[in-house]
Amino acid sequence: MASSGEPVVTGSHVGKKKKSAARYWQEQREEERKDGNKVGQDGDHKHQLQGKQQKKQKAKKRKHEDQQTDGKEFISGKSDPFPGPAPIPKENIQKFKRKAKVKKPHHRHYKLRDVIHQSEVSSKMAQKQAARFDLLLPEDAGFLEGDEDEDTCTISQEDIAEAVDITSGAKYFNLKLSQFGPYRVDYSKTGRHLLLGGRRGHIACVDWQSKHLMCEINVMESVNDVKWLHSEAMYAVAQKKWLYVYDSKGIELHCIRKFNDVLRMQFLPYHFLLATASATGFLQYLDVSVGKEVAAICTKAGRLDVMCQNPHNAIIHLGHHNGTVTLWSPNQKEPLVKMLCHQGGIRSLAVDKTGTYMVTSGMDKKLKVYDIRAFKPLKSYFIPAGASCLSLSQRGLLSAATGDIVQVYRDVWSTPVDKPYMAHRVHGTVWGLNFCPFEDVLGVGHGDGFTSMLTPGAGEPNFDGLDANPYRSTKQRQEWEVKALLEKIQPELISLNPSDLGRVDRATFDQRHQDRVEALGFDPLAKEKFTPKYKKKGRSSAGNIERRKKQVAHEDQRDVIRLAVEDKVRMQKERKDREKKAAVLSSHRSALDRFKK
Amino acid sequence: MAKVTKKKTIKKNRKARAEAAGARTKVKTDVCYDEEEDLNKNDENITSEEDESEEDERKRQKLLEAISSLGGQRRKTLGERSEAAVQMSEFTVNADGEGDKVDLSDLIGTMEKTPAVSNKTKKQLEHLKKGGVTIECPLSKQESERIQRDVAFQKAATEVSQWKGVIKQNQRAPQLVFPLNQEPSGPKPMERVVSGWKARTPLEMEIFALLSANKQPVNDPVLTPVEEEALKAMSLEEAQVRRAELQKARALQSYYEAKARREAKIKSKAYHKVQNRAKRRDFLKKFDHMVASDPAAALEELRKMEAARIQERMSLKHQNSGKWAKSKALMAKYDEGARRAMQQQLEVNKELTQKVVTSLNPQEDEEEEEGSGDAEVLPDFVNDAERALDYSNPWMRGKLTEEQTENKTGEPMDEGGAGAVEKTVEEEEEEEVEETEEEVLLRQFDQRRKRRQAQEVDLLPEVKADDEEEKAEEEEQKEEEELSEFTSIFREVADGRREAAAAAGQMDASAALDEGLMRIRTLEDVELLSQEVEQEEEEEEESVQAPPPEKPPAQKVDKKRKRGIELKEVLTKKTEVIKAALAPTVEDAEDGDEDLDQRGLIREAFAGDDVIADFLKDKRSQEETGKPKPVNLALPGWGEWGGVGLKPSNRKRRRFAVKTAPPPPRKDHHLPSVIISEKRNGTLSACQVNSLPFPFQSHAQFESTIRAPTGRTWNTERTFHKLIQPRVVTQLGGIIEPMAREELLKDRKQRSAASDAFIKKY
Repeated sequence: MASSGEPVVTGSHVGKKKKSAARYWQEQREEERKDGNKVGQDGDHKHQLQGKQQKKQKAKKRKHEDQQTDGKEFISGKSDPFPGPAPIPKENIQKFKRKAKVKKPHHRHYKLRDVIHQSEVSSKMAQKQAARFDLLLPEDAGFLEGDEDEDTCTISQEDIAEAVDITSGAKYFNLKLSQFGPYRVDYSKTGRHLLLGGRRGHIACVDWQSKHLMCEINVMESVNDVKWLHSEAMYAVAQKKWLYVYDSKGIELHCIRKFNDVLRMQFLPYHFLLATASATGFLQYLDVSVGKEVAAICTKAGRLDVMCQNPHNAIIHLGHHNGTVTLWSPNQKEPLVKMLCHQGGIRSLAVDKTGTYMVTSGMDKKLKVYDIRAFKPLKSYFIPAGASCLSLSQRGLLSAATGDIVQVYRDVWSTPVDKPYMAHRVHGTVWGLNFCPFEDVLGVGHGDGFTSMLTPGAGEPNFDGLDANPYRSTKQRQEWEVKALLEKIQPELISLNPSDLGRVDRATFDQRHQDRVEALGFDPLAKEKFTPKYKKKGRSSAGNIERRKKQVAHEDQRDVIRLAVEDKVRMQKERKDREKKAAVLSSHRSALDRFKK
Repeated sequence: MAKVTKKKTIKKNRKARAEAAGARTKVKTDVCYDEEEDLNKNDENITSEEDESEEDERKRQKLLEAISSLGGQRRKTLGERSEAAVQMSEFTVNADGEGDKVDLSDLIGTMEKTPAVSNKTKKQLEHLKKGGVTIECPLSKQESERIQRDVAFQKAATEVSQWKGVIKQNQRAPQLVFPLNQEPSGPKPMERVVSGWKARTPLEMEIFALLSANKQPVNDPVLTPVEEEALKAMSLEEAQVRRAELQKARALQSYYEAKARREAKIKSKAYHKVQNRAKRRDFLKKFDHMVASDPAAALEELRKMEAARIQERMSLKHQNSGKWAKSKALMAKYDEGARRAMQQQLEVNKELTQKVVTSLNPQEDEEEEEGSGDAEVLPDFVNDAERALDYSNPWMRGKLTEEQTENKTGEPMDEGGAGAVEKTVEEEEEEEVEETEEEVLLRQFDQRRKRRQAQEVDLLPEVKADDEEEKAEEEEQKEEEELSEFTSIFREVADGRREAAAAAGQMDASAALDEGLMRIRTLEDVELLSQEVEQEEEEEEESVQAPPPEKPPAQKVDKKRKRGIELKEVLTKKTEVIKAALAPTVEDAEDGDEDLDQRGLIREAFAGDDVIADFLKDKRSQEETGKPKPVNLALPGWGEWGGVGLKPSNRKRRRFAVKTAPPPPRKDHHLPSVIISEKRNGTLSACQVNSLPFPFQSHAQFESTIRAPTGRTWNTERTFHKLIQPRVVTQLGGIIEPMAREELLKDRKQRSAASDAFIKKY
């Protein structure tokens, strides 16, 4: 939503001066950008000036070549003013770079050389093409900018809504739902649909842009969490005791008894996994495409009510009361990583889209930013009231709820922040907080209903139409669903570093065998133990059985011995052969050699 | 056995003797075996003495011959006649020197002496003599064949090895397209097509001759003079106007088509009814016009209509006699809907079979009336007592009476012979009546609307009252809000105090927290506490000034103490205070309960109490479990006393302790507040490549080749297709012929360029 992404504020705040909208990466890469601009503009200029000559030359040269080669000319007599493929900016190419290349082997290994060369060429081509197609992402993100000496956080939502265009202004709204308590919020992957789950059982699906109510039910039970599944046709609700799945019309599809006392849920869209954290300390994974429980892990860490996922590698992060954050995959019964983040308990967690940063808030009223790849703390902030809910937007805005106030921060990891970017007061305690994908909207579920806030610069302006298309039709959705199911990633592939899959497994045979034994639950290579058959007429006496056993054991032993002897003989023979050969090769025959056998 | 053989030999000897000597006396006949051999020898001696005279001579001669032959060349002996033979020369002439070679010198020896021979020939001959080269005799057949084969092989090999380069290139090419030497598909540039083509075949020549004779253009632009003229004739504006017209017409047509399609799709019966009626009315009007203007066409039309009417009358289509109608008739007694449907159908029938009456055929009026009378015959159940107003029932409509009255009024006029014109008017009136039905419906709607509006007007005061009530409520709410505001302000004040406490004496709070931490430690922790306080103070200063550069905590590790992580190293990140824009009015408690709030406060107060210590303990235990266990092979009782309560001595234990290699450093070696699991991910390894594939020599090489993904998700469509293009492409049905010799002549560079063309494109 680029339209509201750059609110052309004509009201009291920003509208007086007509300045080009500032971009929030300007600070980050000011110099770089300047340089880039220079390069971009001056370079263009130069390019044009210089280019004319060059191009002329080139064109001439080309013509010349043509004449030389086949003596043909264009009938029209014109030459191509822009010969060759269009140039691609270097930063763009850099953006799509994949790992460094290796040194090419010697000419001697021409096959290997060919293979490596081929792969290099194709990857280079892919990179270039991708960079070239970057042109097709025309939208830009903007952000809010105040007057001189004006804090952006003092600008009220009403002012923003008034200043922006009418469609964007309509995205600021309040739903007054005071009856059924604080609300949990979830947006679908495309950002079109909103799911509200009231603590006291009220559940509503809304197409929030058209304000069309898809369904509204009351489950007559307390609701802990709500989550959309892969599409807007289904959603999961963690109720008082069990986990339920409803469809978009509010019809109960499943009641999953294996998942009890669920407090928080996360849906991994590419794996079709619903991860749930329960009050009993279990982390469970449900494959929603086949309806199978993939893993149930006892975390042994008490009540689990803080949970988030890393969208980069599908690892689940859990926050615990002892200040630790644990990282889980369905493939391991113990935490992949356990890190101590706060002195008090963890209150909320959020991981950014690229999987680089993790933001935590704890009972010690601190807000910390971690580099989750290196597990190192980057920033630590003290928030007087302490943040109860955290959420990160696609472009890296952080929203934190302190009591009934929603604060939005910008750039919490790169530059030290001392005041919020935006702030808004809602009625009642905030219970659910979520940024809407592809929109500059923050959904806040609180005690008095739901508030949709305008947060300029939050959403990704360019969407991938094949992945999450906000404007897709039913038919497109169905098609997408089939494709997504075909491309489903198996849960076994979840690991801390997703690129591990592209590495060669350097484990030994024993290790691999051990893995296999673990996976199968038995040793496929183990020999079956001999149990003598029961025989009648007193032939199964203890002595007889013992004898039979011994017989079999002896036979086995004989086999072993026979094999060993054969081996030995073979070895000897080989050795002799080798010696003979060596002797022949050395051709050091003495006169006495003839007497050798 | 041996004896027997001896006997035999003796016997043989005897026989030989008998033959040789002829008459020989037997000296002893009775001899023992031992003596007999000696005797035999004696016997032989005796026989040689007897032949001496003859043999000596021959021997001598032979010896002489042998001696003579020893020196010089062997001389062929004279033919000796020893046996009777036929081919013996009478003159004992032998070809002397048969086996000897003839020397050149033997032949030309005489030449030198003869003066007739010229000097030149003499010289030549001498030269020949000097060279003395003789032609070697030809090789055997096998040998010569072998040599021929060898040469042929070498020739073939050189020829074949010429292909080596091409073959190798083809083997290494990323893609091969068969059949080879195909023209690249796709559009070709015009220039190439035009310039590259020439008339060759006689047919083409003839055609070109014709073309040139008629002054037709051959090359670009391919336009005849006439066409060119035509082009000139129409100006651009005209053409544009014409084009625009055509476009408009086409667009209009498409609009109409779309409209018609849309209308045809409408399923509403009522709509179609109305539509049909309107059409009919239009048609009638037109028809009237036609009657006035073009009676012949009108008559034609009339005939058509009549035909349609007759067809309808003939058919049983709307006569309520079909299967469906019968079933409906059964239901009609009970089901209002069924009844209505039947009546509708009858109505349709009536409409369709109504005679079109015009001035053109007034004589059929009465018939028509009769027909209409017939049409009104209905099944009897219709006359059953039926009740409520049914608008679809033509007999129950309110207008029916009016119609009748009209009819009544009309009848006398009819009788009066007013004419068919009147009748048509009547018909039109009927139509109007039907129209009025719709109007009735509309009117009803209107009425309802009005009624509703009236109600609303009635309600308005109530609403106002409601509003007032609401206002009162709002006021109450306001009061409440004010109250809540008071409370909030109060809270704010309280919070403010707390915040002030937090802001001013934040250190105190943290110190207090740290105190909790300290409780479990002793002595050194006192130092730590002071250090931490200092650190915090520093932090504050730094936060006021500028954010300090981050230092890795590992640097602080005291190298002497390898035991583990110090408490002070954990969670040392400096905090920055964020000023809140708005003070929260609601105390956030997850469940909003006061008790929980209290509990939260307490928890907060004791936060970090033993959290760090617990964590470090956990980490240490994890490290311990990761370490390999020490192995001691010392056996109790060997070399010393053993028994219950006795342990092997320290010396012995040390002696038999096996040193294990220390494990590689843990991944969380440098991270004090992180535990990273060292467990292998077995499930992932099942999906990984286990061993290095063939041409690769190192893991890095292989990993680099698979680093770029191939799928659609990560690549543009074109790239994706390029990446998955097949190794060999064959044309369906195309004949793949062996490579021609011209392939060899092609420049190698050209070929490589062709194979790498797709690379250079980008």
